Amino acid sequence: MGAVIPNLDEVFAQIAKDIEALEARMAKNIQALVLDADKHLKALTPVYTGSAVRNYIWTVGEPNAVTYDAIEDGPTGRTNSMALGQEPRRAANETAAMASLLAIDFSNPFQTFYCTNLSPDIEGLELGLLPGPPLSSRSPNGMFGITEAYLEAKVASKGITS
Amino acid sequence: MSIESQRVLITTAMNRINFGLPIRYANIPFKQPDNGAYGEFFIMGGAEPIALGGAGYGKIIERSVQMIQLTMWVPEGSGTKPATQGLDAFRKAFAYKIGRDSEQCVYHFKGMQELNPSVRDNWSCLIGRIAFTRDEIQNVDIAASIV
Repeated sequence: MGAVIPNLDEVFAQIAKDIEALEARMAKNIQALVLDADKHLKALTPVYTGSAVRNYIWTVGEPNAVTYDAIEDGPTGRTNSMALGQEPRRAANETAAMASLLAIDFSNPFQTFYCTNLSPDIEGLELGLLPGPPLSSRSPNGMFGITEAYLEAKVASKGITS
Repeated sequence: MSIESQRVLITTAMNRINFGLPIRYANIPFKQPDNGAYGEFFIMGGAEPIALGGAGYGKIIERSVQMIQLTMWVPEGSGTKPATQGLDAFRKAFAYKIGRDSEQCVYHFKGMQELNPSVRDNWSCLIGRIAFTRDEIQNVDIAASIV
């Protein structure tokens, strides 16, 4: 016993269309996730010289291996007494780092998107190791850790194809 | 939302743990040992909350993602036993646990991530991190939303 599917070509054409639409939706959602990750990482990163935010570099296929110098567009300011986001050197360095994100082509969602940060102080900021004993260490910021946990929770609750 | 009820839940659990070495907490007087192991405890937040869905008319469930971290500092050359024992106790207290605070927010703690950064200035450092989520039912002002 068997079943006959009439207009098989039309069925295959419709399936191909559906797959294309699903891929397009996934591409949009992956792009939204990457933009969300970038926004969280930068917003949670304290700025002094600007090196930490300048070095958030997005690439596709392989991670970035270049360390960029901070853009010195004025004094660093007394950043210890400022709220995150108010630091004088944040805007110029965030904008420079943004160029790597704007260059990403999201049309193929089945790629590996990397965000690297090779700033010398990034580990210390993330884990709160600076300056370390015998001085009191700073609070960790958990830019990567928090963002990773946030993305995991978001994908778990919303999925990436919805 | 009550940040205070979260603080009480977490610090109560921390206070039940016998670490066997002093632990520094935010804004609590602390005498750092000159040449002995000690720990530092942090609660980290900053991620945007995620709206999970409806929880009845005029209510949503909101999930916020946060992280607790215990950093153990040990003088170089004195072994790592106090630090690893402390991190074990930290893991047993929090990893994969579920909690509820006095404001009825529900907490889900994930597994512990262990990090071993390089030795700094003659101090060895071991870190344990546990991400957690806090689910809270929030009231939504329906009338204001429509306008």
